[in-house]
Amino acid sequence: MNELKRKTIRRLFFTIWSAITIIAILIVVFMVYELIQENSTLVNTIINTSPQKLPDDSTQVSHNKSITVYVLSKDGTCLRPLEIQVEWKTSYQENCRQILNAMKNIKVETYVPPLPEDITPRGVFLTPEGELIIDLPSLIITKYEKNTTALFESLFTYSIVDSLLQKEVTTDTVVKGVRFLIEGSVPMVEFPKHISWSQPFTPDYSLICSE
Amino acid sequence: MKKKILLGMLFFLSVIQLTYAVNVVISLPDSVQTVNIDSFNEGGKIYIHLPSLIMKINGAISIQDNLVKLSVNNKNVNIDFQSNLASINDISETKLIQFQNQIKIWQDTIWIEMNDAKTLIQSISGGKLETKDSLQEKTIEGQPIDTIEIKETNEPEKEDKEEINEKNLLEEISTKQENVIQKKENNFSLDKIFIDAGHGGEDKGITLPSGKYEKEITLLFANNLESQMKKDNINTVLSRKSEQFIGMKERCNSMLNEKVDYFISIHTESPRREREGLIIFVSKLSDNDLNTKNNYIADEIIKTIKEKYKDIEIEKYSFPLYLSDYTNIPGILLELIPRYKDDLKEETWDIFLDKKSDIYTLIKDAIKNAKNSIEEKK
Repeated sequence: MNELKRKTIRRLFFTIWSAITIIAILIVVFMVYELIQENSTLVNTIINTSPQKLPDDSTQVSHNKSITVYVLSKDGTCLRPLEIQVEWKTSYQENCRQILNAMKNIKVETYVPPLPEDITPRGVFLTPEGELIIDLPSLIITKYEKNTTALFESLFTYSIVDSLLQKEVTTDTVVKGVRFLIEGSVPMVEFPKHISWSQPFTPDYSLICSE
Repeated sequence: MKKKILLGMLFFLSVIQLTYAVNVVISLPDSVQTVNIDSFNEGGKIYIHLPSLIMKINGAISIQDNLVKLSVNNKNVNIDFQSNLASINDISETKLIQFQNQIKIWQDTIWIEMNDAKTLIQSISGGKLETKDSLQEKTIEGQPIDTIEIKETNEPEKEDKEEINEKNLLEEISTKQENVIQKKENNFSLDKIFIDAGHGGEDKGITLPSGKYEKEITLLFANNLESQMKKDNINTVLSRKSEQFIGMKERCNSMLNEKVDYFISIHTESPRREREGLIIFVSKLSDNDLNTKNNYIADEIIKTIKEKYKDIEIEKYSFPLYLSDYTNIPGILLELIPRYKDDLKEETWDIFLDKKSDIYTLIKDAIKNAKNSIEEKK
């Protein structure tokens, strides 16, 4: 192969390589452009989503309401009724959240809240079938796994069920039962260990202190 | 040198293009759209970018506190960040869907697992979400080329094996449960009793002020009760005979394998100051007839004990119990309550373990009476 031929081949390869590079650069420019376009659409969408379009719980008319809740007695043998004030809204689920939150923060010496202060339900939902779902975090297992008895589990369960399913809380909402979940699933074995959470619960006031 | 750099750039660009693009075909009732949606792979699952997906089907998205709020086709969708539940509302109906995976926050934006996205799209638009087969191969940063498997019939992964074993055990329980239901529909008897000594092994149960563990007391009580029952030729099965851990599912399986008719599960409660006592939790079943018979047995136990020991406080509740729920076998859970001694450091166990040792005999007598009564009624 003479020098001229070699130069021609080299030039040919160089041209092909240059073309590929230019195409690659164009692709980069196109990708950056696409990315900017997409981001601006996202930003616009988020900005343009006005509260009127989407339901917003904070826009609900609210007032304070006095509600009787059932919390554990200090000796942990029965449930005691206690009157608390909660911010009352039109949504049943939202009221349940408010009540659970208020129950956590009860600081009366003779009462023990069912939920420890650092445990917040992951979700409180009402299904179309009228089942109230309370999804608890796995932290509840760590808290109660080692020192739980059948009585404590019953008191814990019915403290919440009896408080949230009473007529003055449900008002006109049809609620058939409360289903407990842990991390989105029906809990197995760790907590509760004695009573079963596989089915929804209906109120049972037999655990309320007799005196 | 220059050439090498440019060639490197070119390769890098091709990789980038493959890394973040999963071609998704969204089939809506009126049109079929092919769109590129950002994705990332974690734990063998593909997560797709929720905002871009929603925008492609003409929806709006906003985030408020812990809620992702979507608005698509006149439907409002609320997904709780911390939960895997989404509620879908429109004027006429409300639906609730449960995702298999939690929504992820990655690079400050929201991602949803591919199969969950399919469920969501199906629920809110009636449309389908499919990945384009030709673009299923992709490269993830620093990882080897991986094939995206999105079919529902995926082969189970190694880490899922434990879960599958659990599922198999539950399925096994469920099949046996059906047999039990059929048996119970035909007759109810007390021919074989399962005596369950609560807790055991690493599961110590509650620790009492004296330092005793619940598992020790339940084992002692269960053994004593069993020997009393044997004396009267009542057929029994013990959940555990020694200091060992037995899981709840194994206990349920043992009840079903042994075809027991009834269970007595022994547990203890924290000591009380006033007096010793007993709480009887009667299992609440879906069959009202079984519930009545179950309550009758519990009442018989209460009556027999109270006749001899009026000072023992006995409470009775009817709640769903784990052992019944997974076997559909009726039974009771006895929670023994000791009393504190005067110095409050030690509890008395004398009612069950010493002075009132005939408590076992009384329970056995009650079971025997109930058994005879049920057989007479037959």
